[in-house]
Amino acid sequence: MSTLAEPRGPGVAARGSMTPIPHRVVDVVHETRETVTLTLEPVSDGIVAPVAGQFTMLWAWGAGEVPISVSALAADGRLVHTIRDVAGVTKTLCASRQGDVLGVRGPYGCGWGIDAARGHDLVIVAGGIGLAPLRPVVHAVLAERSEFGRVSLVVGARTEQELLFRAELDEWWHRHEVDVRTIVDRSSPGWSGSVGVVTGELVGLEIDPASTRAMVCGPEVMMRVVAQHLTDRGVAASAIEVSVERNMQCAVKTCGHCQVGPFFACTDGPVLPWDVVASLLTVREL
Amino acid sequence: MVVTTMAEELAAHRFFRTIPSDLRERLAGCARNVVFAPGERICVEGTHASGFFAIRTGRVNVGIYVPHQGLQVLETRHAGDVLGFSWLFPPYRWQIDAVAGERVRAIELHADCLLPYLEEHPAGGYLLVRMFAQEMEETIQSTRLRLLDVYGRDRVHAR
Repeated sequence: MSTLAEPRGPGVAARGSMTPIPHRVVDVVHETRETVTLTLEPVSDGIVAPVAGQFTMLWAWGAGEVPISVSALAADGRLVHTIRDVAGVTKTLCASRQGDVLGVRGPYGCGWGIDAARGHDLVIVAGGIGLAPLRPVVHAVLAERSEFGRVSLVVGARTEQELLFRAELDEWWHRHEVDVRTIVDRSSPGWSGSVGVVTGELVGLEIDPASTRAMVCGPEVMMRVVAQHLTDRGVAASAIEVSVERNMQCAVKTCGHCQVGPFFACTDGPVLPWDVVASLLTVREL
Repeated sequence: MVVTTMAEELAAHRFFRTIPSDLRERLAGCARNVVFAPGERICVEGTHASGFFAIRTGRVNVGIYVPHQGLQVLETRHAGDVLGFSWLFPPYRWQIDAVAGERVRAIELHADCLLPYLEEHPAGGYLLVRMFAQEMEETIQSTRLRLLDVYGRDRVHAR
């Protein structure tokens, strides 16, 4: 059984770092109808460079602050965040234009166990916007491909039009270094891929349970179903990591909004081993 | 060249892996290998359901034809899946259309051969029906999850 006392990633930013640091929007990419990728550059001093799986608190002046995962690791202090417009603060963030200034706190939380996955097969499963926090993992794998065994990426989305990073998915697929599979809930004219839930694509994957590690990010129901499928096939629960999403407000384990039983998603997570968190995710209203 | 028997091919398929070898041998007697080209129709709604398919490789799009809109794909069946439940129940008519999404290799099992045997051998019949019931449960659960629209905007956060 995993324990959270083990070092699992970079630590939380200092508790005193509650002041948003101004960053300027230098690039805006509209990924889908309601999803935008922003590249931010510090106006003066930046924040500590994040690692894959961590998040920052993004502050839109006059609107508020929300936790957003990093969707790529950029150089020179730049930050890349992919944000879905689910109203409120995210609507304001998604409407950002080049030159706008946003506040940034962080980075916070524990990242994906990329080092632990070296020498293993890796199954990456992303649903919807859940591909954003996992994209840096794929980048890291492709940068050091020989360090990993068989690597599979299964991406689920509501429709073809809502698949994130479409061009990049095509590029990864054509490189043949990662087994890329996509599946949508609903087909649309011209869609030649699979239709169904992500586990439909997992069925066809060859999995060696003893040497497989998995990273899963998406809606909680989806993560539960995927983790169940993988453990049914013999993958150890401790070898499966999920990214838990909760209502994070302070991001420094103080306000208690993101508490999941004995854990805080903001500092113990958001990436948590399945054996630690599985029983908690079936507790209603937790 | 390695020659495999139909029973061995069934044993290599996920669906049949756990059944007793004597039943598998019997099923092999009702089976044949089939290949479908991309876009080829595998079954047609309303026509006689003469059996089912165990998909070995490739992908099958399952759906319903809508006038002037073509096949509306509702789910995809993959290698390791079985295709077709209608052969088990009267009126033995396909309820769905299925088209090969890519080149598909499958094992076709014939109802005319299978059903009389299963009626006479209830233990084997019960086992096979249980296996199909499990497939149906998984299909229903998959449908439920999609009805939940887990990727929908009201149920997920912005990340």
